[in-house]
Amino acid sequence: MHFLHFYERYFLSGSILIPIIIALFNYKLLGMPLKVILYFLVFSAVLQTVNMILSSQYIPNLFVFHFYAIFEFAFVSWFYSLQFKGLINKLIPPMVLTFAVLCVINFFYIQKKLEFNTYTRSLEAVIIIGYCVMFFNKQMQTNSKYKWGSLSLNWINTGLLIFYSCSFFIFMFSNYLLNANKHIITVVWSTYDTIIILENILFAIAFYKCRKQPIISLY
Amino acid sequence: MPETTDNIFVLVIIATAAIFLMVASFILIYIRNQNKLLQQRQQLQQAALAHQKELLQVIIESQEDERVRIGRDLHDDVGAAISSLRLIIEMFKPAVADNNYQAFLKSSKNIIDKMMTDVRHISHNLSPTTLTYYGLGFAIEEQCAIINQSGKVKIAFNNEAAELLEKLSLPVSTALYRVLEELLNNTIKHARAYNAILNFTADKNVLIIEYQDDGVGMDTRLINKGIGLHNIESRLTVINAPHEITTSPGNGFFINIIYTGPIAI
Repeated sequence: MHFLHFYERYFLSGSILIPIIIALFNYKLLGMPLKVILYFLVFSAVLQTVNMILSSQYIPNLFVFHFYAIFEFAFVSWFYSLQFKGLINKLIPPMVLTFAVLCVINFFYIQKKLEFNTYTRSLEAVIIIGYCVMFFNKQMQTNSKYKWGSLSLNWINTGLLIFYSCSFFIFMFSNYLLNANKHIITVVWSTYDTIIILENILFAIAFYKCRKQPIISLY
Repeated sequence: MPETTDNIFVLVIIATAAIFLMVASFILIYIRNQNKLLQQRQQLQQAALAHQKELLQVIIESQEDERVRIGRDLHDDVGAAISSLRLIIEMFKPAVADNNYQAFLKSSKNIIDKMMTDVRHISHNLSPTTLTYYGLGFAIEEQCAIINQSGKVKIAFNNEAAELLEKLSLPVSTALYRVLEELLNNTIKHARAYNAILNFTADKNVLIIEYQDDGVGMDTRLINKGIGLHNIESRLTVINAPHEITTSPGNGFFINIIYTGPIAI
C-alpha cells in the first residue's frame, strides 16, 4: 500500500511533465491541434498541483474537480473542433457552453462541493468518446499516404479514447469511494492513475512524432 | 429479494479492465486495417507508376528509333543527293567558261559543301555514331571537345569510370548521353557560364555523375517548368537513376546522378 501511495503521489505527477517537456522542445513544429493539447496539459498540471497542495493541507478539494471539468471539456472540444468541418464543428461551441452551464448548476444545486461531479464527468466522457469515434471514422474515410503510427493526431485521439472510456465507471461511481475503506480507495485511484499515465505516454509519443515529419522523396 | 454482497469497487475495476481490453482491441484492429489499406493503396500506386514508366520508356525508345531513322535517311539519301549534285555541277562544262561561270561554280560548291557539313552534323546529333561504336565516354569527350573549340564555355571532363561505362547497355548510354547533352545545352544557352565540370566516377557497379557549372543558376521552383529539365527527369526515371539538383539564382547549377541499375556484361 505504501508503494501505491508513492505511485499515486509522485509517479502520476511526474508523468504529466513528460509530454509537456517533449512538446516544449518541439514547440515550433506543433500545429494548432497539438498546441491545444499542450495548453490542456499545462492547465491540468497546474490544477493537479493545486489539488495536491489543498490535499496536503487537509482542505476539501472536491470543488476543483467541478471547476476542472468545464475547462477539460472546453480544451478537448477545441481540439476536436479543429478536426471536424460542417455541422459537427458548428455544434461544438454551443455544446461547450451548455456543458459549462450544466456544471455550474450541478455544483450549486445538485452535487454540491462535498461530492464528486459524477453526473457531469460521465456525460463529458460519453461526449468525448463520441468525438473519438467520429475522429476514427474521419480518418478511415481519408486516404492517408502515411502509416497510422506516423501521424501525431492518431496518438492523441487514442490517448483520449483510452482515458475517457476506461475511466468512465470510475467517474460514475467515484462518490461511493468517499465512504469506502482506505485500501479500496487507494487501489481504485491507482487504477485511475495508471490510465492517466498511459494517456500521458500516448500524448508524449504524439509530440515526439511531430518531429519526424513524413518525407516525400523526389525520384 | 436477498441483499447483494457484491463489492461495487471490485466490479468497477473489472469493468474498467474489460473496457480497456475492448478499446485496446478495437484500436489494434483499426490500426491493422488502416495499415493494410495503406499497403494496398501503395501497391496500386506503384503499379500505376510502373505502368507510366513503361509507357515513358516506349515513348523514349520510339523517339530514339525515329531519330536514328531520320539521321540515317539524312546521311544516306539527302547526303548522297547533295554529293551527286556537287558532281553534276563539277562535270557541267559550259560553251564559254568565263569568269562569271567560275564564280558561280565556286559559290555553288561552297554552298553544297556547307549543306553537306550541316547534314552530317544534324545526322550526327540525331544519332551519334560515336556513342554506338565507341561508348558513352568517347561520345561525351567528343561533345565536350566541340564545345571547348567554340570557346564559349570551358568544359573539364574527368572520366574515372571508363571500365564501367563500357559495360553500360546502349539504351542506358543513350539516355545518359541525352541527359548530359541537355545539361551542356542549358549551360551554353541559358547559364551564361564560363566553366563547367563533368565527373564520372565508379563505386563498384554504381556510376556517379556530377555536373556543375558556374553560371547564373536558377530558382528551384522553376525546375519542373522547363521542358529540358522535364526531359532529363523523364529519361533518368526510365533508367532508375536517382538524381539531386542543387541550384539557386546566382550560385550556378549542380546535379548529382547515381546509376545503380543493371550493367550489361
